[in-house]
Amino acid sequence: MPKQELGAEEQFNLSLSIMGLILREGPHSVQELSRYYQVSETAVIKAVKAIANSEDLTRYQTHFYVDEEALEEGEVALNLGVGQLDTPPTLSGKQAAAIAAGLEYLSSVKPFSESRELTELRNLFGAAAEPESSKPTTFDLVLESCQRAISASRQIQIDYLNQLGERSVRLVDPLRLDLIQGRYYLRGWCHKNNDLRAFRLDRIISATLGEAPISDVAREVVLPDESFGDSDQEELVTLEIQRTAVELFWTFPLVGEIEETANGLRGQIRVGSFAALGRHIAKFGNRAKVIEPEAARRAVANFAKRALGASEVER
Amino acid sequence: MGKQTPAERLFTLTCCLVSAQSYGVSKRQLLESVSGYAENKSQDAQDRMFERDKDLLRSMGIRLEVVDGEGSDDPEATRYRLSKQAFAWPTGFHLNPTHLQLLELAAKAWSHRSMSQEARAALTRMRAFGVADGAQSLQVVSPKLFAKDPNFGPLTDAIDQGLQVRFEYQKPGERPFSKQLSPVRLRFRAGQWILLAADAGSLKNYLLRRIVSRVVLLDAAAEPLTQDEIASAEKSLDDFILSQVAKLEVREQSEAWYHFGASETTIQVSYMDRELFIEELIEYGSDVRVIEPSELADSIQAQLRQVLQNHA
Repeated sequence: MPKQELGAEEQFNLSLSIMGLILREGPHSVQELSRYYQVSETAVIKAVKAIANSEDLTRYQTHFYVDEEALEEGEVALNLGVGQLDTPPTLSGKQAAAIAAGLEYLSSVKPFSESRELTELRNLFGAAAEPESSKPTTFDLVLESCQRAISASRQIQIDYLNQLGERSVRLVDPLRLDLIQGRYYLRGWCHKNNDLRAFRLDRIISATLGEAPISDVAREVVLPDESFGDSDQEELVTLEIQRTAVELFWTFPLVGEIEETANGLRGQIRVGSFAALGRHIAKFGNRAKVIEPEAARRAVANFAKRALGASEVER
Repeated sequence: MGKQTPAERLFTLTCCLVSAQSYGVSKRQLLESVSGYAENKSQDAQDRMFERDKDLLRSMGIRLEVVDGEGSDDPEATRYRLSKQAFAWPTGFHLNPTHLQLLELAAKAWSHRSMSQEARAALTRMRAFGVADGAQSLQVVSPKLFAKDPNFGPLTDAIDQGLQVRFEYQKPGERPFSKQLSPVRLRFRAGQWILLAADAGSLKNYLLRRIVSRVVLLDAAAEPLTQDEIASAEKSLDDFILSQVAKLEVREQSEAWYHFGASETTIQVSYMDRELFIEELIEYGSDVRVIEPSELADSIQAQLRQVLQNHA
């Protein structure tokens, strides 16, 4: 539960919302509202006090009657006085755009793409949407197993194919599913590596929910927001790219600033495995080029050779 | 009653404006009615505070209207009121716990700071229509919008304000060219953000990743479009994706096999954009081979030869 102080705008917005909710639903406890709005109890109390202190000085009229005694006992109860305000204002264009884009994003992936409620919300924000339906696939089963394992805090065994094509069975303490650019990643503690790892869900061939609870070390670990690669041994690679390949600088951790050159952009990224770099560079064709080190250039050339079906691969 | 906090002052101001109904309320009345202003002795400070609050309400989507000309010397001449649409939620608007969970995920997806604040504020406001004691389920998914693209913010601003934009756009194998467009909507399709925009009356799709300059907002108002025109343009993109089909051969039990959800080695896959599909296929290296169309297979071979040459 976040305990930080809210800014004046957020606090005002919270008052508007709590006012609308209580007038519609009736009294609620401060604790309940704090959980529902995901703000501190202090913020809830401040929001209710703003509603109570909204007297019109010239008319000596109260817009709302707030039960102050109940509030002291942790209960929020209020009635409309002479006021006319009984719902929060509608959303600003920017607020609506931010939510609509988030919903749009969710609608591109399962299980959200099949959700009736998501379609209703998207329609509300002006999108002409219908829920999709498709036959369940291996991916759906893996996704469901991961969700169940995380909710139940239980270990999961996965059969995983890494980006070098190596297959292995791993025991994982699942912690979270990240959804990045339309792709799911299972974040968790990998018992094979004894470290935090991210597994792309479309590379998990099968997932079996175990009986054992997740380990103590996994329970205590702080999951960083971002996760890049699987290796601790990262090396610097210098790239020269065209602007339409700029996502290379977002996909890999960027070191220093991006420099503008006559041909486009130049920058340095940190890479865990040169062998895995090949595919990321080759897909951009002429628009991305590794400048150095030589070993990384060779890895990209090798990837292209293999993809072309060349019989001899340099090592 | 103690000294009002800024949040309390804004709340009282909103109450007074709503109570004023259609004939509005003068600035003098508001300054006297809201204790946050009245307790301030200096007229200048009151004026500054009121101006700031007006801007703030507007930025939060609370549409403040001026009934008479603003800027008149007579403080009574200018009256303020709130637009009727400012509180016009759809009739019977109600959100169940699943709606709220989805809205929460949609709001949390933003890593872009200002968009994240807007989304959080929207979520707080919409919670007024939910069920506060509804069972709170654990959210196991943490969505992240890949909105590191610096143009995401300016484009949503332009859509919100109904303004045209200008930017440089670069199609594959071509030089960048300048476009002046009326942006309509940002959509996420096939792992890509797409801008639906009107270009002199015709609606077209633009990939955000092919915008190679900063998006500039222009003073010109966006072209007016009907909901039907927008819906039909959205559908035509979806139909187009379904119409573009490639026949592929995938290596059994390889990454490509699992990625495409194959159950046999020859599969048919539909795609949105030729160049993006080439990128996707190249990522799977020798695990996938294009059978049809042959031009697609040729382009992939040519691109790989180019990569080989650039890294020789």
